[in-house]
Amino acid sequence: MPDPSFIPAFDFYQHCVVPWTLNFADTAGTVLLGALVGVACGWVGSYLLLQGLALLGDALSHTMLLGIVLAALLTGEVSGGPVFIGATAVGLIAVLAIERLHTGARVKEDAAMGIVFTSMFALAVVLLSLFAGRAHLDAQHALFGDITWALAVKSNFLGHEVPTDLLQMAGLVAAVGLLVRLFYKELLAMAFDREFAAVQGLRPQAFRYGMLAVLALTVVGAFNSVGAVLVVALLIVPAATARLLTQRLPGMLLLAGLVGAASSLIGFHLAYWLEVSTGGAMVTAACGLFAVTFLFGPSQGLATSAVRHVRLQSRMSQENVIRHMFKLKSRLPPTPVDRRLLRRELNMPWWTLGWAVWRLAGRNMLAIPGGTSNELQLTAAGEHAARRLDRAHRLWEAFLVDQVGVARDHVHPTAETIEHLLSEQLVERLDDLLGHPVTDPHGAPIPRSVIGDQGPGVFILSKMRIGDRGRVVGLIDGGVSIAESGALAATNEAGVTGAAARATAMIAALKIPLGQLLTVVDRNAGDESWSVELADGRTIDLPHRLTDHLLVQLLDEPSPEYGDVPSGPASAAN
Amino acid sequence: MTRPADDPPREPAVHPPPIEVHDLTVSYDKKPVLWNIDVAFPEGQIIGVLGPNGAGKSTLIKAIMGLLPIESGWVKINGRPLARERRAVGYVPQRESVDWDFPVTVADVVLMGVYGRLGLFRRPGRADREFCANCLEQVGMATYADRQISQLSGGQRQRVFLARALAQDSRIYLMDEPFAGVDAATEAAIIELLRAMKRQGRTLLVVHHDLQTAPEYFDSMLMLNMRLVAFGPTRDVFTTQVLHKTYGGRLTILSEAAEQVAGTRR
Ligand SMILES: Nc1ncnc2c1ncn2[C@@H]1O[C@H](COP(=O)(O)OP(=O)(O)OP(=O)(O)O)[C@@H](O)[C@H]1O
Ligand SMILES: [Mg+2]
Repeated sequence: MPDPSFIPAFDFYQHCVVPWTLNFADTAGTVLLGALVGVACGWVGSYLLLQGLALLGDALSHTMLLGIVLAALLTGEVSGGPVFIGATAVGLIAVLAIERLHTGARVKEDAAMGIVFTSMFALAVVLLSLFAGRAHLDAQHALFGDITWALAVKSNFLGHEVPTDLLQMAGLVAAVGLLVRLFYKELLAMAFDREFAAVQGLRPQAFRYGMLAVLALTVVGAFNSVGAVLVVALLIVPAATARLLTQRLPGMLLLAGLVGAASSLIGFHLAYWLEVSTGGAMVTAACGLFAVTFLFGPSQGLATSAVRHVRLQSRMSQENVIRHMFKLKSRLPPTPVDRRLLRRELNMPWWTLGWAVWRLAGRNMLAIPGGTSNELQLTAAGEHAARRLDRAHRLWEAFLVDQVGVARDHVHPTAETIEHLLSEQLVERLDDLLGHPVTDPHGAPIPRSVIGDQGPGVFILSKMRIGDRGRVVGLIDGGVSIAESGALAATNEAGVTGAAARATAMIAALKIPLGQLLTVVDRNAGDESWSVELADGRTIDLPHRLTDHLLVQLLDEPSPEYGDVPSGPASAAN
Repeated sequence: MTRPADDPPREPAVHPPPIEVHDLTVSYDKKPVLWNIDVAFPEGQIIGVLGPNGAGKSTLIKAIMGLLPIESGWVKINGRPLARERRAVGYVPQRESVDWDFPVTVADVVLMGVYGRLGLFRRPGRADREFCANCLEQVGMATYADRQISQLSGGQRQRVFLARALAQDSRIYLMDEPFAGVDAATEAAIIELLRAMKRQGRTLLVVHHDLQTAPEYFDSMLMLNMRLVAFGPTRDVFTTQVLHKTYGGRLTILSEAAEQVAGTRR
């Protein structure tokens, strides 16, 4: 017995390599037997779990101890045919007794299970202690198993001495695998909707008893290696782990088997290291795998979602900082902003602000000109990102007021959150839906889109703001550029359809050549037309359905990301 | 044909009714909840089953489907015992009857509708999958085929059950509250679907709770309250008098009697 106060130091070579080199046959036998038990339990357990029968697995494994003990007392053997038959028979009797108590005597199902399994288990324990020794069976082994001991009983297989338990479990795993494959649809129908399966003549009741018989066989097969108590954990834990990882039954079966097998491998080394029972260590390993999945699983893991949450919070505070600095630009002279002012106005704790500033500086969105980190300035990239956010925020407000009918003074808080979550595409769709508004419901200007519709700095005319200057570069229809070179008047030909064709015709009539310079003078709310001034001093009105198709290369575009765009006085961001 | 020519034909020459219920009594724990139901449903109709909560509507449906032990009487489908006519009957259970957290997709659930006619060992093939995709399409759920079922709303779940029933491709359908908890648009879509099924000559038995819409939906009605109150064409049955008999008043005698019956049998 190891000294309980002493946990040996873990040494990878000593505890993970040596067992394989020193005594390969025994190590491989132990791990293989455990893995076979794990796989069989994982598969059977998956079906139990899905039907809400995990407790029944528990009940049955306990009652079967009675069958095993009875068979062992009668024959003097603890494995082989009689034990299988005895345990299976007692297991089925227990199921019938539970159902009888439940439906006949109206005892609640969980209570019925409790009554049946504890009484049969108690009887088994009494018999065990009365006749211990008569059948080479003691309570310790019966409850917790002993793999080394299980491997000691050998039988002849194709001329080789092979551990009997190994043969049994291999046969069982093969049989369960085959059954699941052959009766996949019957088992699925039974597990998902027993009444519907019955209506279709799929005999769910027969398959239910079949499943319970396989459960009995699995428990008996696992009895020598992990015992009647620990087998319950192997029925439930790998299946529950797999369920956390997948939304499909085949995937669940696969993963449950894998987790069961992995528990054996990990458990063996754990046992070797700590010098404890292999069965116990195997169950501990399975529970460990469950805990890891529970915490770090991809979709529901607690730690995973905590990390996701922290990331989102961090991004939101960074975005709040740059958007606020962008808003300050219209209020304050274009000098660096004092960090304390930001803190006060954003009402942010200093550590959050500090983290956000540090991250933003790292992402080249903020510059710290003085180096003392109290003076902050938006970089061009920062301003670019801030304009995007500001646009999303204001368009969302406009959407809530115009289309959803939310009161003007109610929209700010939701927009405050949503601005961080809307995708670029969705923002542009909102813009389109709202008819490209220039001001939000509070009267503040909505920044122009920062992504071009057709390359950098190229927008449809509808998205331009009053005062914008641009050069006509083509026509666009639903993202497809129709004409990019040559006279626009020549593009009205086969292949150009619907609205775009009409736009083409109109442009031809208006005699707007490619390369025409124009300035947006006004937007007329009434008929949704745009007044533009052409280079020759003429002012013409362009209807909305035309401006939606006319591609304009913006001049004076301030964003530095479009370096090839001629920049004018508006590029104050640098 | 190995049968001698002079053997009398087993089936009567006249077309038997799709569902015939004869003197049916059903009990839970020896307490009868349906008493001596006698009815034969006509073919090619949408038939409403109405009655207050606890009237035994679900019990009747389940007894016809062979899901409950019958105390006395019998049920025949197309003139034959249910066991020999399983393919002929499709079923839409109440929505709450399954675990919607089960790890299957919408398409998987609908595919279960064809399991019955595949037989042991055979797996659904490509033709079956295409057929099921078509059924999903008919209930307007094609875009949800790969969703895990826990991500569906109540109305969508109802549609998935309907698609699964369509996949059964039966002549007779028993539906337990297909309109429960769905919005007006879904209800309209469902009744349209049921009418299309009726036009194909199918017989539909539908448990329903809304008396407003009932006369518009059903060709015939079965009024139930532990016993059969009335059965017949809607215009004959859907009268104030019958409704009063079904929903109002003097039912307590039957339930009291049931309690006493249960008492003496124990
Ligand atoms: N499993 C059961 N065990 C015992 N009694 C039951 C069971 N199921 C139903 N009952 C009883 O049988 C009677 C009829 O139930 P049933 O579910 O058929 O009613 P229903 O007409 O479908 O009602 P609802 O409109 O509420 O769905 C009720 O009195 C109910 O209490
Ligand atoms: Mg009901």
